[in-house]
Amino acid sequence: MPEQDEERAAERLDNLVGDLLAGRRLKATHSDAAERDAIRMAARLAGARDGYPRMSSAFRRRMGRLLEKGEPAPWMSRRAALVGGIGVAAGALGAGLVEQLGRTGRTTGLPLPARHSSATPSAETSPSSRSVIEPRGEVARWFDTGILLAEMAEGQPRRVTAGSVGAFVFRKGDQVLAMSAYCTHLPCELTWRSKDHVLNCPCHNQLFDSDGLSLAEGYKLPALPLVKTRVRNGRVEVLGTA
Amino acid sequence: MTGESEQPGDLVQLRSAGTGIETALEELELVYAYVYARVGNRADAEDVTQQVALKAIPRLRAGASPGAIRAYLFAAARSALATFWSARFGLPQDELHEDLWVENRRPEPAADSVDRVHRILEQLPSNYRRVLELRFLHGYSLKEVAAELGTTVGGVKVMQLRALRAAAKVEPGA
Repeated sequence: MPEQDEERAAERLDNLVGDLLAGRRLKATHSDAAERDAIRMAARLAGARDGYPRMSSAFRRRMGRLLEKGEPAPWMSRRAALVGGIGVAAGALGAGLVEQLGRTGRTTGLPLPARHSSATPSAETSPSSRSVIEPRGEVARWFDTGILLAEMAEGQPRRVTAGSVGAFVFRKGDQVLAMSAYCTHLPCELTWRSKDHVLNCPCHNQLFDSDGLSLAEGYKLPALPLVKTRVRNGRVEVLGTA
Repeated sequence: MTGESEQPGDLVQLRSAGTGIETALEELELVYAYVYARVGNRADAEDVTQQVALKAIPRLRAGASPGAIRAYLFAAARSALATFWSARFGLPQDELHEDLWVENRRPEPAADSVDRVHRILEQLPSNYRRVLELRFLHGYSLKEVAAELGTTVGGVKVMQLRALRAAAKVEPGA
């Protein structure tokens, strides 16, 4: 029966999908060869959940040792050179915005960004009990997320990983606001629900708005801790751990 | 694509070997992101990235130019991915090369892989697009997808299968 075949294929494919969505390896085998294109598409979709994946710090250290043992020549470009060509992006924007983007080559979004692109970065110093993730000095490291501020849409966050820090980055006018990607109730990972414009914690169905504030009725959960960000040459950087 | 517009002239030689390793690791991050976008999980992405690194070390020693190194890394990444899929499915590698249409282009940054997925989804019929968006991008469980689409869990699985088959046939360059 072709229908039963299809159900079996659907069941099998969903097992593989379930593994990928849970962060597990792809367990495809030779018997899956007929569905290889669908499976590879599933892997691509699973991979698209993290727009800028970074190596875990443990794996990065391992690769560092591997490269060190091989003693490669000092061959690579500086980080700055890797992100060349920013002028092209900036050139496409209005001069005023370019100026503001230039000025935001500093920490932004603490504790909350100026809501309507006020050019004064006074928000940085305003007092707040909001907690901020500040990795200790020895391990703190700025991560270039590869995201161009100019290409970010308002109301459409990007999920980024900076070492041990997982964050959602929102564009707010000409600034960015980043916050922890983990629920402040119990540490489940939040997902963005674009139809409702909220971050959702699947574990206990808690909701947070795009400022990271709890939308719970009655008792409010603590706001999502802020993650430090800055914009360098139009690119969003996030403070994480090496 | 702004990420692709850097010129070989921008590249700077570094003096300290320690910093050299750091920058090498940043190149490897690009490889990792490229691979992750295709295998969709960390463990497999690490395995493939490590193979690329091992393969690239002799080349690094030979002191090739940075531009050539990057081109080599991505060629190695594509070949390692072909090996990965070939081992999974028991098929010859030439059937499983990553998107030949990309071969002549510069390696796409990770964010482009995401854009590409969105472009593919846009071309699907709306019910297929919806099921894939909910399941993969919004993190809905099967049950939640079923509730959202007014169908059964079994129905979602079948729709997911058909949607993934259809998505695989979309010409992403279109």
